[in-house]
Amino acid sequence: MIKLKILLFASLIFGCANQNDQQKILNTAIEYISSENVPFRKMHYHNDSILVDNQEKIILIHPEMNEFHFESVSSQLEKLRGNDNYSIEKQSILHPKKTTRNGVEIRPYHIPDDKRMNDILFEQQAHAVVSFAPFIYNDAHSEAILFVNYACGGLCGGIYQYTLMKNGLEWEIFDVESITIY
Amino acid sequence: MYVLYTRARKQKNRATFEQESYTAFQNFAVRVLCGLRKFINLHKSKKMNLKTSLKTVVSTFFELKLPVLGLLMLLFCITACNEHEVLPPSDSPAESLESFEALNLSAEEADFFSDEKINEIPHLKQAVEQLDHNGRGRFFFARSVQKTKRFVRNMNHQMEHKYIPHITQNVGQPVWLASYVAKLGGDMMTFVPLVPADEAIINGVLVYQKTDDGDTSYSLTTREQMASVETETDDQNYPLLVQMFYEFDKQLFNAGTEAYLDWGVKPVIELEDCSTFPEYTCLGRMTELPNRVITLFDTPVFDSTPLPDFGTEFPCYYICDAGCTADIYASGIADEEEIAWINGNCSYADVIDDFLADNDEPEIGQILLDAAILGYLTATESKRLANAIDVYLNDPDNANTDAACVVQEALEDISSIGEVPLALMCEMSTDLMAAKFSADYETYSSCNPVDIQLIRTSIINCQNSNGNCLCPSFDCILNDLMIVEDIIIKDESFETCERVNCVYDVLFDSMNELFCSTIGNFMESTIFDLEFRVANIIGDGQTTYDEENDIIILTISNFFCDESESTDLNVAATILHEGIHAELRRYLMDRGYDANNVEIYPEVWDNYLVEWYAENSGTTNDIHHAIMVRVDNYVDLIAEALWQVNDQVFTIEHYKHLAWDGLRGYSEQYADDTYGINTSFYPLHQELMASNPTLGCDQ
Repeated sequence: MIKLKILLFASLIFGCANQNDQQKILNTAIEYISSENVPFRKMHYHNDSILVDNQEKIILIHPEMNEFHFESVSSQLEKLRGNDNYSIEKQSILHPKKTTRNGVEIRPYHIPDDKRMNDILFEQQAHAVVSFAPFIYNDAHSEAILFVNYACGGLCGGIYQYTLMKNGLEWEIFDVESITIY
Repeated sequence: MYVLYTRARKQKNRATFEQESYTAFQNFAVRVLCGLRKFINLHKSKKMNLKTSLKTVVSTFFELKLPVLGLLMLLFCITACNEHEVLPPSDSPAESLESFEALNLSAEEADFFSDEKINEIPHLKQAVEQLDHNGRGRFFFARSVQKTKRFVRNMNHQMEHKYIPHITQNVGQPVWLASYVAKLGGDMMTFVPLVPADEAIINGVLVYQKTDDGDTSYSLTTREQMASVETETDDQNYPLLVQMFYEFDKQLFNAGTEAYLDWGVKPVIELEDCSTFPEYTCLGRMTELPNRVITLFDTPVFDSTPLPDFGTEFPCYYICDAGCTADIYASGIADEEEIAWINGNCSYADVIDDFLADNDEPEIGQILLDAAILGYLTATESKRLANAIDVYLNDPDNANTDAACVVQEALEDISSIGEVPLALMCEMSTDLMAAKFSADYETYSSCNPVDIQLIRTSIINCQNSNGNCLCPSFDCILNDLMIVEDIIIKDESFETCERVNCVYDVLFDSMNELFCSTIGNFMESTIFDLEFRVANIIGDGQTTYDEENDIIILTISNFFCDESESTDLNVAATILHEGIHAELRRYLMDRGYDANNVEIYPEVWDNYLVEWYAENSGTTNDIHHAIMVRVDNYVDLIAEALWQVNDQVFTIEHYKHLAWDGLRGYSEQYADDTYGINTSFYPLHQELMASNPTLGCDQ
């Protein structure tokens, strides 16, 4: 009985740790997206010079990790999934909060199946919609791979593979690779 | 962007980058070791390595009671020795071998450069095993052969990956281990035999020379070319090549002299002011040397079984001087590898040089050069063709035709069918051409699947050059889509989405300029296929790359399968937009670039915005879109294509709102207008949409 309690307690702790990691990874990714993805920002091109203003923009975050939006890269996901050194996150609900990062408003938004991306962005007056595939961790839980689907229009954006490394209690983005282009 | 047969000349290929960065490394190493050069030279003579030499110097300083200098030297030694170990001298055989193997070779290249490949040729395996590669020359041998491999690889990239397939299909597999390498002071020369898989015979000899000054020359001579010499030849290297064919044939297959006696008596006509040879490249008589390295080139080291009646003079290796290259260089058509080829093929160079001297037609000069390098024509045939083109160009009736297209089409078909098209025969009605090629219209009407791809490419070319070329097989090929489906694959998901499939077919049948120069280019690419899919994606379309299968995948949203929620023009715009992404990727990968590496883009597309994104954004997504807007003006091409497929309803401006989709953020004008509703195109777009535009796929 005691053993069972210990196991239960450990699994709760581990589950919390996982959820905590997941939230941290999500925060890191959102931070990166809001600060690094240039198309979110207002650009001025003039006489071979470029000015970038961080003006207020809106990013919509799909609150569920899903594979539906990643059909076009299913072979890459399968490849990682088939790697014995990685395991896939079972948790499917994210908790993006309405917040402002780097002058960009982050807002949870459930992407409907029956609307074109251009219409969604126009209706929501948003600049981009972001969706995440289920997180993939290595066995040591020190590395995470995140597929991020980022659409700034029907023909703008792409799917990116973020590789994050755990540094102490925090997660840092180690590499970003473009997988598809819209 | 119109890129079909004529290759982009001004863009660096990956191999060049590697060479440049390699050279930069070498320069760096030289600078680091500069202060030590004196010691290195000093101790080289004593056969001591750098570390030992420096240790000696440091200990000497200490012995001389100069500890500060000793410590400084020690620090210098640690740094320099480490650098020295990381960056060995360029002539280190180990480094050379590793650097070549480390190159990102395609499977085709890996096969071609492999020494293991000969194990698949039963009659060759034993012969090569008997060759002696030991001895003190083996490092020089390995290094020289690797340099030759590197050159051929660069050449392959330069020729858009057509060169190696050409050699393997038409000549044979190189037997690198059976090469002869000549050591000529600081210069090197490599002779490589080529053997077909199904015949015990030397079918070609490849020669590569690199001088101490960095000058190079290169030639690949086939048995067919040698045998086609009728009574005399103007190839100055012919006697040397006869000896080499014979020597390799004797060593690998125990061949006798019979076949070569006939070759050996053909006189060589000297070219006027065109070829020259350094004294030391004159070959002695041949013998079976151990370790395949010829160290005394101007003395009779080959003398076991010389060809009888071959004359008393040693054959020499000739390179071309300015007399047969000046106009080629001036035209700017030759890059580094091609200059090497020209240097080693004086008779061809002479023909092309003379043609360019008489005609300001660099594009045709380039086609002639390509055809010569790919072995489509012998030097004599090149001369006949150049004469025929000369006559054609001087005919006032042909003043308004696209001569380069005519020649290009002719040569492509010569390469694939061995005949010249009827169109060319009509337009270039010269006796020389008629005598050489008997045109046979029926050849085309039969729709031989093997030939269709090349003919189809010609058709696309012709479409793009305002129909100046006649294409007798056009209808025939359009009805036979089998070959196209092999290259452009439709996934089941695509075919079952009838609406999207239908729009694709409309675009295909329209053969408009944008479609031909993007998706159409995959019909020509021998490396990459294009696959169309339909899937649940959150955007309208995506382009991705399946590295394992060398397929570029173009995915269209399944949202478009429902005809009620979008127009056919939306689907067409998406296919065209994604087709451009696919073409940009193919264009880079066909030239050996890593299309995922953002750093290479500014090298290929010289634009400040492309450069800025490469440095700041780090995504190919941004860079592709910047190229589409800032470099090649694809927006206008998309709008024009949509206007064309929609039966030219309204004006091209009416289609620009659709064409700008996904690209506004990359323009100065519309960067702040995410949805494009404040542009002058938006009211026109609304007018267009109000007319319920259709391509006949939404019913």
